[in-house]
Amino acid sequence: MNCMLNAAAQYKIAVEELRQAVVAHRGGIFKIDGSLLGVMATATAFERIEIVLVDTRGVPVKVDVREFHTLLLHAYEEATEKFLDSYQHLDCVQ
Amino acid sequence: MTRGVLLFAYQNSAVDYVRMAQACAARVQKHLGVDVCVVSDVPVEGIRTVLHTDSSSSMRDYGSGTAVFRNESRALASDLSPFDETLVLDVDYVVQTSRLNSVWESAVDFMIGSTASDLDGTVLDSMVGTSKLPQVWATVVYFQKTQCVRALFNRMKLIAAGWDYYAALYGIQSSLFRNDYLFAIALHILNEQRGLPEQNLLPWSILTAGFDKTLLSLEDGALFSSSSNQYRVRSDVHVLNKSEVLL
Repeated sequence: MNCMLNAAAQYKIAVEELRQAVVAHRGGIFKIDGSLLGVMATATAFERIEIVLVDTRGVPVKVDVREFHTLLLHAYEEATEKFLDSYQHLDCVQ
Repeated sequence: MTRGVLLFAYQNSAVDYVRMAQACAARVQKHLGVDVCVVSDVPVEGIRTVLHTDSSSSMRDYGSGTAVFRNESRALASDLSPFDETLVLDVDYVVQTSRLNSVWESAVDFMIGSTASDLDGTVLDSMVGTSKLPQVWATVVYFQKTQCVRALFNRMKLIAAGWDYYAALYGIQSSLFRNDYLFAIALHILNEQRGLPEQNLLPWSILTAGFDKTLLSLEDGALFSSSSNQYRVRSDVHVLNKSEVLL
């Protein structure tokens, strides 16, 4: 039985975790993705206080732009760090 | 508003569900920091216990032996839960992160797992019998005590009482009573037979270690092995080989 801690297997789990990463705010649950980060960056640039976003389940939620953007960036950083670590262990990258 | 995790642990001769509940409660308190209550037919040391007898009689093969599988009390979760906001978890669900804390104060009053994927990336996609109704995963269920949620659980009680009829209606061949099917059928009926309501599905997949994965350790994440790989999992994971969570 070959039981090596396989880099490809770990990478698959990391991809799944990154794909499934969520953040909760004011009763909404949002999947962290590029488009959400883009919308929040734009809202921040335009100095909006609150905007309405539709969460992953289709529920409209009024979010506090500053608070939610900060929360989102922290969660994004945490999720991508795990992914990057796993990616760097892939044989094809080395 | 009170919030907490509700576990079900009915002992049988094959699996020590009470010890599994104690282990699960310890992980919940460590990672989620919320109260835990267990529904059981015996007092569970160290955890607030709601004593309740489950009279299920379906037999299940646990690998180590066949025993009565007492799992027909989930429809009573809303009645038995002492919390305003409740997260029902299977005792073989290994909590290793605080992600489940994202459900509290949700804008919707009921959520359940809708998809599950194995550690090797396989999507555990299945239907309720031959009906083509997508299955849900009762491994993780969140609810608030609202009128709509009461209607859902009342519907589940009716379906459970007439299980033979509903099993035939939805083309369920297995003699094993499954809460996954019970929730799916109740949601389907309350959604006016238009499939499963999107807003009631948890927006992530339930990571699952299948029967071919052996849990080796729970230190520094869960370490599993299969015939060809080892997997280090640091997120929450559902362990199908139940007894292994007692490592």
